[in-house]
Order: sequence, then C-alpha cells, then structure tokens
Amino acid sequence: AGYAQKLTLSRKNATLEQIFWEVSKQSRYEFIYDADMLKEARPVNIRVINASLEKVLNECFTGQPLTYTVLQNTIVVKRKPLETAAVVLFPVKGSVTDEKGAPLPGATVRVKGTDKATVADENGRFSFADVPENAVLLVSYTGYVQAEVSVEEQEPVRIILKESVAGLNSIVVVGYGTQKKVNLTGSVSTVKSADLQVRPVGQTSAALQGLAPGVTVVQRSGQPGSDAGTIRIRGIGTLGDSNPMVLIDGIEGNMNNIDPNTIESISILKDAASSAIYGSRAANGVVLITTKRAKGNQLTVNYDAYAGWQQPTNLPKMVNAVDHMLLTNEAYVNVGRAPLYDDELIDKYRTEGAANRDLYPETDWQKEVLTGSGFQQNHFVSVSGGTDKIKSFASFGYFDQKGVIETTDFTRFSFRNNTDFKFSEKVSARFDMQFINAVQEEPGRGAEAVFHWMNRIPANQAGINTDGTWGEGWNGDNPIAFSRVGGTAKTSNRSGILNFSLNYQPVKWLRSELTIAPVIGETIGKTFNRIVQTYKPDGTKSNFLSPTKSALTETANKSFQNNVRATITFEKNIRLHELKLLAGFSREDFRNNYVSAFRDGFILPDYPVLAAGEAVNQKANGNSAEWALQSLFGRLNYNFSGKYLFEANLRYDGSSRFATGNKYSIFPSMSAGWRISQEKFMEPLAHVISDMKIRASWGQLGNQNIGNYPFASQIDFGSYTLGKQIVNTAALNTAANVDISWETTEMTNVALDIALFSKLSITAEYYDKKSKDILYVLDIPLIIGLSAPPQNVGVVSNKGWELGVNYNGAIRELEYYVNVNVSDVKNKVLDLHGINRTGLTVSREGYPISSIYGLEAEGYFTDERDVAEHAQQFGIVKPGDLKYKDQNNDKIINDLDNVVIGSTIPRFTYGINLGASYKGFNLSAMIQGVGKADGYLYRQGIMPFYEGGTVQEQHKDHWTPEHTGAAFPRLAFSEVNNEKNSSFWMKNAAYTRLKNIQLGYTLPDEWIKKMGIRNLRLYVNGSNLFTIDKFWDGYDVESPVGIGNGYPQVKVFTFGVNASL
Amino acid sequence: CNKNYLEKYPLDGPSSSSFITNEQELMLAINGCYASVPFHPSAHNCPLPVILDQVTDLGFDRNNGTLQEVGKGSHDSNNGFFLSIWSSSYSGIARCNFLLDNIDKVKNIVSEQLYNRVKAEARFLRAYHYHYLVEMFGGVPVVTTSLKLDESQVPRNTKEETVNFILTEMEAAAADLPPGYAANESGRATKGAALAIKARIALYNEKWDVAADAAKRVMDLNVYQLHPDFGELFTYKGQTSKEIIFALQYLKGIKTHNIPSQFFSRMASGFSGLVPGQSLIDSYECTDGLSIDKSPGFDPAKPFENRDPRLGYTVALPGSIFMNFQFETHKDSVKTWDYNTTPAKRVNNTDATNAFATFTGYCWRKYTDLTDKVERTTSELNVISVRYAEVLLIYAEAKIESNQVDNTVYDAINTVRQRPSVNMPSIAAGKTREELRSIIRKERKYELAGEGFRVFDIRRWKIADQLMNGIFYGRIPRGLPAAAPAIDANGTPDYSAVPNRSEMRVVETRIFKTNRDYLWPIPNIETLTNPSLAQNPNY
Repeated sequence: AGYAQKLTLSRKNATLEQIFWEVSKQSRYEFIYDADMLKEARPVNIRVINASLEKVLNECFTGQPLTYTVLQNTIVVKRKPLETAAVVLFPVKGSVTDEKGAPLPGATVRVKGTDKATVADENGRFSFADVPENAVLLVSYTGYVQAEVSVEEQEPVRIILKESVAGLNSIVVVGYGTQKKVNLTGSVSTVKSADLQVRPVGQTSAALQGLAPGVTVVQRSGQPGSDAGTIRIRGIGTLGDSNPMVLIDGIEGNMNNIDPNTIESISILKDAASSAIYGSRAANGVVLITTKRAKGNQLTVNYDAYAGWQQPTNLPKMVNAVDHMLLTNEAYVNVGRAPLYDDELIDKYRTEGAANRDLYPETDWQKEVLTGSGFQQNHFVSVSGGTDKIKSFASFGYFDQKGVIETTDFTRFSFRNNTDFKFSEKVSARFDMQFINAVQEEPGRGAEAVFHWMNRIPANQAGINTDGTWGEGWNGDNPIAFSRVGGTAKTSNRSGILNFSLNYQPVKWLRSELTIAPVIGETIGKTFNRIVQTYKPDGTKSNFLSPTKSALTETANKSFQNNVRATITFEKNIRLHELKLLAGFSREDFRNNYVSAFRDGFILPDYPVLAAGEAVNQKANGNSAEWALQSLFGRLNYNFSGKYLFEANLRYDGSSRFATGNKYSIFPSMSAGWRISQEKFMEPLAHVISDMKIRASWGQLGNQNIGNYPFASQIDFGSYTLGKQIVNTAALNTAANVDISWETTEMTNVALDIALFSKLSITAEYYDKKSKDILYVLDIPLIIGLSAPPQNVGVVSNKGWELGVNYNGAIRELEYYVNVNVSDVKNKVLDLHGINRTGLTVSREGYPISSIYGLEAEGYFTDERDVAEHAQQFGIVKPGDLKYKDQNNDKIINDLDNVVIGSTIPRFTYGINLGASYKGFNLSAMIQGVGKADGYLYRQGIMPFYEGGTVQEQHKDHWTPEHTGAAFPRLAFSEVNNEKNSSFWMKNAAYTRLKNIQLGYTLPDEWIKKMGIRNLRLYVNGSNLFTIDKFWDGYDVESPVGIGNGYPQVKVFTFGVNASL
Repeated sequence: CNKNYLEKYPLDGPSSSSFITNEQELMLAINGCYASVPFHPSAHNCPLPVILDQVTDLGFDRNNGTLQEVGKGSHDSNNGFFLSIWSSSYSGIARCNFLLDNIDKVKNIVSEQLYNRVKAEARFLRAYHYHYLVEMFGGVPVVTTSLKLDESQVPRNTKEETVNFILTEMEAAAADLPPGYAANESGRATKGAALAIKARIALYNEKWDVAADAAKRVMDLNVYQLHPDFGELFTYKGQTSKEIIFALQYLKGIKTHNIPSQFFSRMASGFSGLVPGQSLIDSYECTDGLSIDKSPGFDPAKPFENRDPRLGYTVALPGSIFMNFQFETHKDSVKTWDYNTTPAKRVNNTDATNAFATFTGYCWRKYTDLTDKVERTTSELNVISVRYAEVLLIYAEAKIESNQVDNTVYDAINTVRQRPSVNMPSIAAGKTREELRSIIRKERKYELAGEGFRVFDIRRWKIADQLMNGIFYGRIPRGLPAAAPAIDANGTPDYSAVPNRSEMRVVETRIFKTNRDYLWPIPNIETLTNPSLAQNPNY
C-alpha cells in the first residue's frame, strides 16, 4: 500500500504545486486539486532526506488553509473546513541577516495583509507579540531583495536577505560620506569584498583586475610581493605619476598595504564630480576602501584559508649546447668573423658530451633555476560582536607566498581591530587600529638578475659540476647558485594606522565628526650579497666570483604622517526637497627619515650583520623630506522628489610643494541627474523599466605629485677623493623651477543608468578628460648641466566610454549572474612644447602616451642588389637583414625615419564575471581581456645573440638564402641593424584570459551543525589557467613590453575553506 | 591657522641662492668640480682614457654595445656613449660655472691666494672638459656661466672659438695654479697640468708655436721627470711618480673603476673584453730601432723577442707572465703554468680554450696590477690623464711641424725613447722633416698606446679613414704569421703580403665613412631640445 516510498526533497519558498510535481515524480502518487485553491496556499520550505510521504505531506500542509486525503495512488487536496480556520494568534521571534550571516539592523519586517510592522534591532532581531497562525512576513532592507517568509509557531524565524540584483537601493561610499546609489550623479564603481576575495593574490590591486568598467589593472610580474597591479582609472591623465589616490577608511594609504580580507567594499570615484572633493590629488581618480566592522551583537568567528601552488605561465624555450654553438658560428661567419667554436669541440660534444659533462657542459638553466616550490597559503581569522555600547571587529591575517625560484617569498601578517563606541544617542566614536608587517624576500642580486641570466647564458656553460659544486656560469654569474645561496634582499614594510573619530549629533539633522589619524610607516631593507665560490670543471676553485666580496646594505626609512579632519553635515528633508550640506577642513603632514649603512668583506659570511664586515670600506648615508597639505572642502546635495538630483563640490587645497604665491588652488565640480523612471509618464512601463536615470557632471581636479621641493634649488652633498684622501663635495645637480604650479584636469561625464525587470542593470558612460599644465620633466638642453626640473608643460586628452551590464537570473534552483564590463579610452598627447623624445616608448605630440616609436620594417633584404639600392642602414647590412622604410626619402635610415608604430595603452578592456549556484554548489569565473594593444619585446627577450646571449628554439626559423620566408632575420652576431627599434619586434598584445575560476560547495547545515559550525564551504580555485593571444612565444601577454628578464606571470591552483562559527 | 604650516624647504642641503658663504663651502664646491672629472661613459665602468683606444686601430671592445658600435662605424646620433660624454662633460662644466658665478661672495672672506687658486682650479677643470668635447664633436657651445632654462638655446661656437677659449683659460689658470701640492692633496690642478693641456690642444689644432711654447714651459718648471720603470708607472707603485702631471683619482668606497675585469686574461678571471689587436703588436720596432719588416733581429717564429720593451709593458704577450699565470693564447696550449703557488702548478688554460678568451690573442697590460687580482671590479688605481712623456712628444712634434728642428727636438724624443727601462736606440740628428714626422707619429703610438690619445691623433693626421676601414685582426689561433707585414711611415702594418694571412683571426669588420666619421654626432636629444645646435655632417 501507500506511503512506502522514501522521498528526498529540498526546496525553499516553493509553491505547493512545485512540491506536488516533485513528489509525484519520486513516488508515482498523483495529486488532484483545484488550481485556484492553491493560490491561497503559502510558500513551503522543506528539506527532507529519505522521508516518508506522510512526513512530507504533513510538513507541506502544516499551517496551510488546505488539507488532503490519500486514496490509493491519488492524493486529493481540499480546503480545510472553515471552522478550523479560526484565527489563532501567537508570538513570533526572528532575526534578519545577510547571506554571510551578518545581522541587518534596521531591516523592516511587516506581517503580510496586516498593518503590523517592526524594525530589526542592532542585532538584526525582531519580534511580534501576536501574529495569525498563517502569517507571512515581508522583510525588506535597502539594497537587498525583499523576502516573503511564512511563520511557524514556536520556531524562531531566520530570515536571510540576498543583495538586490540591480543594487538600486544600495548605499555607496563616496568622498567623506555615503550616498544612495539611485541618487548618485557622479560616476562611481563599487566592488564587493566577495569579488576581491575570490582571487588568490596577495595584493589588493591585482584583485581589482576586470571588475569595474573604466578601471584598467595591469599586472606585469608574478613575483611574490611585486605582483601588484598598476591601476589606471579612465586612461592615463598625466605624464608622471598616474596612480589613483587611495584612501583606506578616509586615510590616504597604499592599497597593497592592507589585507584584502579586511575589505568590506571599494568605491572607485571615476569622474570629476565624485572625486573633486579630494581636489589636488584626485586627477588620476580616487579609490575608497572601507574595512569591515562589527554589524551586530552576535559573536561570530570566521576562518578563511586557502593553499596552493604557482607555476610560470610561459617560458621561452632555449637551445641546447650543440645548437647554441652551431648557431653562434653561423652568426659569426655572417658578420665576417671567424667562427667562435672549433668544429672539433662541437664534435666532441656530440661524441663524448654525455659521458663528460664537466668538459662539455649541457645546462638547462631554466630547469635548475626554477626550483622554488611556488607554494602559497592564506589564513584569515576574524571575530566580530559586542554589546549595544561597544562593538568590535578584530581580525588576524597571514599570507605566505613562495616563488618559483628559491629564496623568493612574500609574507604578510596583518592585524586590524575596528571598534565602535556608542556613548549616547548623540555621541559616538570609532577607534580603529591596523598593524601590518609585510616582508618580501628575493635573491640578493634581485629576482630580475636571476631571470636575466637564466635566459641569457648558453647551455654550454657549466651550472652545476658533476661533483655537485657550482660551475662558473658565465664569468662567475651563475643564477642557479646566486638564487639559491647568494644571499637575500629582504624588505620589511611595517605600518601602523590609528584612526580615531568622534561623532556628535546634537539634533537629527546635524552631524559633526572629528578624525585624528596618525600613520607610522617603516621600511627596513637588508640586502646581503654573498660570495658564491664557483669551481672550474677540474675541481679547482674559480676566481670568477660575482660579487667579488660579500656585502651588506641595511636601510631604514621611517615616516610619520599626521591626518586631522573635521566635517559637519547638515541633512534635512522638507516635503519633497532633500537637502544635504557638508563642510570640512583637513590637514596632512608627512615627514620621513632615511638612513643606510654598508659594509663589505665578510670573512664569515654566515653572520650577515654589519659588525661582521670589514670597517675599511664602510659607508653610511641618510636624508629627510617633508610635505604638508591643508584643505577646505564642501558639498551640496539637493534632490527634488527623488527625481531631480543636483550636487556641487568645492575644494580649496594648499600644498607645501609649490612656492609661496602658487601654493593654493580651487577645484570645483557640479553634477546633476534626472530619474526619468520616477516620472508619471513612465508609470505604464514600470514593470519593464525598474529604474532609469540620466546624469551629467563637470569638474576640475589637480595633481601635485612632483617630488617634495621642485621649486627649491638645493645643494647636494657627496664625497670624492683627492690624493687618496676622502674629500667632501657639494654641488648643484638639479635645476629648480620656482614658477611651478598645479596641474589641472578638467573632465565632463554623461551617463545613462537603466534597470530592467529588476534583473538587468546597465550603466553606460562617456567622458572627456583633458589635463593641462601637466607637471612633467621635459628634456632640457644638456648644456645647462643640471638635471631637468618638472615644468608645467603638456596637454593630454583622454576620451572614453564605459559599459557595465549586470544580469542576475534563476532557473528553478539554479541561480546565476553575468556581469560584463567593457571600456575604451583614446589617449592623446596634445602639446609637449615641441620636445618629442626619441626612444622605444615615448610620449609624442599627436599620439598616445608611451607610444612605441621606431622604424617601419619592410621585411628582409632579398639580395645584394636590394641592399645596394635601398637607403643606407646600420653597420654591415646583408641579404636576410631587416629592411627599413626610408620615411623621408633621404636615402639614409636614421632617427628621422622613426615613426610611431604602436601604442602600449590597452584599448577595449573588458571583464566578464560569471557565476552560478545550485543547491550547495557555486561556480564563478572571471574572464578578462584587452581588445587592442601593441606589445614589444626586445633585447635578449627576443633578439638572437643580443649582447652575446644565447638563442631560443624559435630562432632556428631564421633567414638563410635557402629559407627566405623565415620568422626571424639572418643570424648576425654583434650587428645592430636588426636590433634597432622597429615594427618587426612588435606584436599584437590583445588577449582573452580565464583569469580566475572557482568551484565551491557549501556543506548542508545538518552535516555541520553537530560540529558546532554555522557555515562551512570548501572550494578549488584556478588562476590564469587559459589564455588566447598572438604574442611572442614564451612570453606572457600581460607583460607586453619587455626585455625578457622579468619574473614570469604565474598560474595558481589553490583549494580553500570558509568557515564560520 | 598656522601660516607656516605649508612652508617646507629641503632638509638635505642648503639652498643654492645662499651657497658659498665661507671657506668650507668653497672647498666643498671645488671638490664637487673634481668629482665630475672621472666619468665612465660606457657600460664597462672604465674611465675615458682607457676606453678611447678601443675605438681606434689599436684596440677592440668585445662587449656588444655602444662603444663597439663606434669602433665598427655602426653608430648613430642616439649612441649612448656620445650622450654620456656630452652630458657628463656639461654637468662638470656647470659645476665649475656655478662656483665661478658665486666665488665672489667669499672674495673678502678667504685669503686672496686661496681665492685665486680655487678660481684657477675651476677654470682649469672647465677647460679640461671642453678640450675633450672640441676634439670629439668639433666646435661646441662654450657655456661660461650658469644657464637658466630660457637662456639655454645656445648655438655652437666654431672650433676655432672653442679652441681659443681653452687656450686662454688654461693660460689664465696656469698663472694662479701652484706647481704642486702636498701629497694628501695631489690630484688637484697644477700649473704644469694647465700648460700641458694647453700644449695638447694647441698641437691638436696645429698651433705649433703655442704648443711648443706651452710644452717648453712645462719642461722648464723642472717639476716633472720620466719614471724610470715604464711598466711600473701604470701600477699602484707608479701613482706618485714625478712623471704624472694630472691623474684621475680613485679610492675604494668612493670612486672605483672596472679596468681589471675588462683587461685581465681569463686565467686571471678577467673578461678580456677590451683588447689590443695584432696590428699594434706588429707596429712596435725591434730593439735595433728598425721596424719588423726591416730588422734583421726579427724572427717570425719568435715575434716577441728583440722588440721595443714598451710592447711588453703595454701589451700582455703570449709567452709572458701575466697576473701570475703563463699567458698562452695558442689554441693548442690547453695547459699552462700557475705561478700563484710555489712550485708553479700545471693547470688548464682557459686563455686557449674558453670561447671568450681574448679574441685577438693579446691583452692590455698597462693599468693591470696584481693588487687588483681579487677585487677586479672596484680598482682604485689612478688613471693618468697627462704625463710628462706626452709633453716631450708634444714639444717635439710641434717643433717638427713648424720646421724649427734643433737639438731640443732630438733630446725630447730620445729622452722618451731612452728612459732606463726602455733604452731604445737614440734618433740620430740630421733627419728630414718627413722622417721626423714619421718618427714622432710612431713614437706617440709606442709610448702612449692604450692611454686614449690615438683617436685624436689619427683624426688630425687624417689617416683614420685608412686605419678604420676593413678587417681588425687578431692572432692566428694556431700559429704565427709566416713573415712580417709591411710597415708604413705611420707604423701601420699591411698584411696583404703575409703568406698565411687567411689564417689570421677576423675579429671584426669595420667601416669608416670619411664624410662623417671624423667627428662624432651631437647627441640626438640635444639637437631636439636646442634646435639652434647644428648637427655634424651626414648624421
């Protein structure tokens, strides 16, 4: 008979009809019911494993206005008799949290169909004294999707709100305050902590890649501790320092000097309107980082950890010893030299080489150098909770990343404690502390030196002798040896931030805040270059030692930055008018003190301390600098009826970096928005267009990043020798520019925001940005004899557009999202006073900043006649050499024939973020790419035998009279013709890369509850797994301009866990 | 609020506007001028005098780079070697100008003697920079005061104007400079140095009387004399020699150079990167005073015997002891002797087997010293800029060219030829002007090879186009030339008649564009920032 089968079901907020469908699929029972009747039923939450049909049905029908009877294989659903539907009142208690379990104080809870309503308290808790038996709660909170939850007697209700798709109601952090996203009139991108923390990187900047339109992050290196991304917001606005200003909880700081796990959100202020309140430092955009704070009283402990391995994405393939010698001889003979290697030696290599590697070395330099484990791990523990008066969020982070070469490492300890005090309804305070110790370690001679030599030394040089001693390498430069035992360069970055704010709110519409935040920084360097004894093949000690003496340099740079800020905010709504006024004052001053000490000649190199070095050659040095900035700023926000929005900002900045008379400048901005969707005439479309806004902004921003004293001409001290005595010297080395003043960037922005069906949101923006009086060190005539000072020269334009599209959808229990951002910027140098530098990457009038400049290659010379008839080139030119275009037809190829051949600024940058979750599983992927960019590899990176180095396998495909359609020109040793900067060495650097992919599984509650764990998620993650590009073989397209000596980009595989108690 | 909050001034040094307020500051400033004299304009980190000969017929730079390009003739106006010389020189000039512009602030504070001396030192150093610039680039902008940005569009002075400036300045400096200093202040400019540079630049510009006069005045100072041991002069022992008139000063930890690692043999753990060529070796006379193609004392099978001793002092020859190793470069000499231990050890010979052993089979010996054996990249051996032998040769050449040959000319040449350790046969009186011209030109080569004069000599003698075109030879890897090459009046060998010439190692094939390469190009960036500077022809 019936009830025999066991059912497994897990549904949330399902309709009864859905449950019936599921049950009949699993059990062969059929349901008979009236569809209209089911409309009165409330949603069902059910989670059963191997349960009886009876249990399932009882769960489904509890509290429903319906009941059922089972007739053989049919279940008949009917209304409950009216008399049993009498209203029973009972109390309800519950809590509202976000998906991570953090309470949402202030969430509104209403009982559906009644006028009962309450607001969740500080801990997200709420209660009703009496609700009807079948009550349904409607829970809403700004920025989150409204939830409908049915109530069961006696059971506390746990309501979890999901962040709203379009994020329309979300609150966005802006300069010196917050703003509702719907009311924003400037251009602000926000990044959530979850998007950052999915990436297994040590540096926050690298994690920002691909997440926000208009924000281009380029990561050039995979070296632990040096793998930060370079952030460019809306193009490159200036010729000097183009880094955005970064504020961590309002204090200017370094984005990479914070544990990414402590970040709650990041706002990126992109246009002048939103960043002008930061005036003189905002020209390159502003990044506001907000750290996590305790949200409720409930004590929560979180533990997040991952571990994994890295390996290089790409490496050039080098030739073996015999090939190196044969190709070298070919190159020597081609330039009219005698062959370098005797045929006899090459023969011996072939016949006796394998048996006698000491005499005939064959070293795979890459294999021997890349012996680092590449292991990395991250642990982050946080404790959050408190009372109504005091709340605290304390966290401890540990990150350790070992490199793919030995002695390369990055370790960071971070400690952060954010505390909120509430003295009374009117007075509150925040007291935050952060201490970070980040230590980077690399070989004493630098990781770059390791890769330089690794890809340079021919395979026929000895790396490790057969008796295990170090071979001579190249004249004592043995990257295997010096990367493993040649001493280390260690840089410890310690910083401490205290951030104290006092808030006073005498009346509801007036708030004031005073902030004092001292920042202490310390960079301690210790570089020990240790002698490595190398041995000749016969076992005798070699005198080729690099370095020739062990040497130790210790440096200490201590800085202190003082921040004082006071703001007052007036906020009042009068009928349909909303008015907000902010005024503030701030002061920042900075001072640093640098000392260095040096000794060499360590007789006992196991004791790398200064006292162990010889006193005879000791050196000490030191210097100091300071700067100050003081500012007044203000903002006015006005909106009428939530339809017409207006904002104006003003900042008055004074800087010590300019001479008296030029110290102060004003930076204004204005913006306005119109929420069309709020207009009456849009009402018929309300179900389609959830929101629609057009906005426009204009403003001026400044830049003062030009060193500390560009206006002052200062005498430098030094030393020299006369008559074998040390003498002190003084000299004027740098020209000063007393007239130097502010650089100004003017920017206009227009944008459209649309949200459709509450699922799809689109933001499209266009901007026009022009920087004038750019602070730039322009070449000056060398006959002045002083290095050039910065001048107010140059005009640069950036015009661009951005598109961001977010879509969140669900198919039954499969929830998914697609976020796409695309942006483009056209950069152009408009004026440089006519001084157009030459060189590989140059800024020239009429072209983008850092354009690639060189000769236009026209293929290879076909024969001697071709050479003779063509314009005169460089040195001895033969068929198979590169032929360059004679741009000015003067029959001589020289500098005048150089033209801009490409641009290194990425265009059409995009990021595609995909995610899906199904039951406990979730999958996220990030695809990132560049649509258009030129890459340029040169020197030993790609040029055969550059400065005597070896060659790569791909160079075997070179021009010979018999093979004219080759990939590379004829081999020529020590001839410059083919090594000139030319379009030949340029390659398309566009790419699409699977930047990150993660698969996670959240364990079901019932499995973990017994262990006392609230939430447990396990995941696997892969970074940089897959790339499509057309760049040079052996090199990573993300570092598209290089000479082949960089630490390679890495792929990372990790697995991790998120747990909360 | 505090009005001074934004008033921040440099913490590391005084402002230039107030500088030179007392004697201490004056001395700091003049020392700063000296500090910019020994610059190292190539990747080798070697001073100018020793690298200049590598771009002549005498030497070769194996390291691919800007210097090799110049020797080979494939340079252009972007060559970093020229840029480095130009910018280093003008930065030195600016330091001198700054001092000279501000020295009057202490005129009444320091003694008149010191005021005059320091002023003369600065004028000497400024003219010293110009004397290189004018020979390398031709007429250059003669800048004599601190330039502001808006005053910097200065055109070139003519070569004549530039040369005259140097002559006048050196004369003026000589008036106020002392003949010498205490040992712990040696390295400062002296009267002799100013007159010697004056003589040098006059000679280069065919102002024969001026040159002879200035050289004679140096000789008459009776301060200088030739160092008896020619080889020792270029070692640590020779640093205090009375032959040295002006030297670039080095000291560990303060300023060092890299000559040892570039010059040493492979066995001595050097790179043998900068090396002399076969033609320098063959140009030295035999001890009988005849060239090797004429001397009965020359044996092609033992080519290094019976030769002018300066050959062996200037060049490390195969078969000699170099840095305590038996120096052998015959490719079959796979073993050699290590004299660092007693008794000597038979060891593997990397000077024969290493692919990067000297390409020519020879190394420079001048400026190599066993003291630098270990710390090869940080030598503190002073490098001579002006020495007395040069002054004697300037005197002789100027007199010969101006047709005023008398005994003093023969004396000057023979003093150089017959210093105790050299002892070459004297030149007998009665030579024609043509013969004497040949003698003096060869003598400059023998005496001064490796010291940075050759590039200017072959330019002014207008023989660079012959010497710098074609093949630069090294030794025959497994043998010797079967016969002596023909040696011309300038001492230049011609190998066309040597039977086994084809076995000689082709180290490099060079080109020299006669209509271009007699002058080096003004650095490209300088012509961009200062359009009033005209570039040299055909660059």
